[in-house]
Amino acid sequence: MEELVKQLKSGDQRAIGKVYEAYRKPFFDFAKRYNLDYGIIEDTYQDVILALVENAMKGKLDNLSSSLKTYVFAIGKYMIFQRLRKINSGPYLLAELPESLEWDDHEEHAELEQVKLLEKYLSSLGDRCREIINLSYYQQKSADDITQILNYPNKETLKSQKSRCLQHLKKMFQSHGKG
Amino acid sequence: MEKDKSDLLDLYIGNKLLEQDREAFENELKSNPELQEELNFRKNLLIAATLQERKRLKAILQEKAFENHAKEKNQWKLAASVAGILISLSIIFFIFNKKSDREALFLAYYETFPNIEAPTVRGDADFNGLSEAFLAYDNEEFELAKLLFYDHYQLHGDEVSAFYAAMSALEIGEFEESYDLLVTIQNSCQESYQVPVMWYISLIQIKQNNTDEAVKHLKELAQIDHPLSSKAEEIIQKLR
Repeated sequence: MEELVKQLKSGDQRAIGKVYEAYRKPFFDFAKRYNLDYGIIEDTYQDVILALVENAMKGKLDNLSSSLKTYVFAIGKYMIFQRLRKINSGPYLLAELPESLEWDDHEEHAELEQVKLLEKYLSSLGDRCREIINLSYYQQKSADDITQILNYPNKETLKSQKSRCLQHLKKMFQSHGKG
Repeated sequence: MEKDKSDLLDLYIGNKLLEQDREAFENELKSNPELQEELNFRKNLLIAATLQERKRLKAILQEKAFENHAKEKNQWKLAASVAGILISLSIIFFIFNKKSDREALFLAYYETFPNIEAPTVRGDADFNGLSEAFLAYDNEEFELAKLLFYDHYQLHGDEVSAFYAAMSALEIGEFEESYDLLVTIQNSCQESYQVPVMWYISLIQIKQNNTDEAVKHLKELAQIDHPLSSKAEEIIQKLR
């Protein structure tokens, strides 16, 4: 299991696919009890896998106290309860994420203009800048880890490069404002 | 942006600053609009990078889902032809075997009762000593769940444990034990479990061919304003 967590942590797509396949059927059997549509269950399950991967990347699964399946079901149940609460059906009680795990669907911010523009501008960045931004902000890795992952000679080189990437993004904003 | 401020901003966004450093940084933010603006920019950058990566990964998972769906559809086609044969055989069989008729009715209406208490994993708050039991129940380890719930019930006499012990016993085919537990808590359990208790008692009675008693319970259920009342009415019709 430790090996699998390590692979998830590094974003290994084969490992993500393996976890997705491993728990899909039991998760569907479990979720059907709550009278949810097939499409909603599939969508929820995909979010569960995303949450699992993100938490692995942030090192939150480094000291697992339960099996990976238990975490999948606990996150899944949390997400199912959230959805049920939104459609306001059933006497569903408070659902909580397992201790130490995080998940924010960013629903409130996804429609902000700056967020939308940043998503667009990120796609036009060079590969190296995209990697740095991804590792720094999506995976929230430390500067030491990123220096090692991207083979920079030292942390200062990484910081300079990162600063240039951020400046580049800001310049795109300024051009947008002028345009 | 000064380099050390840049680091602080990222540590702050990642919630990695120690409490006293965080407080000092928040104070500085209040008096430094430029820093606040940079913080907002980086927070939005984190959200944008996260949403973008999620979209990318989700596209991969959706492709997998599509493949799975296609596979399942083919399996259903095959299953449908096999089912056609089986249904024909079943009809012949049921005509000659009334007991199996009740069994089929039980199976048609029986569903695992979902855990409507809080979700749990090891290490969470103890939840009155029931965490392990609910964990086993959620993981479909019903043998273990039954033992843990039953032990808890023996020690504390609480109806919730007795109810989930009964549900776990049903899952592993221990119908008499499940029935006895449900009957014991029938009049004392909390309101949210009263209808399910009556429902499962009726189902077990159907399975055990105790039709008169089952109908009595189902008629009571049919009068209540609850999603199960229409199912109770359906079964009464079928039993006629």
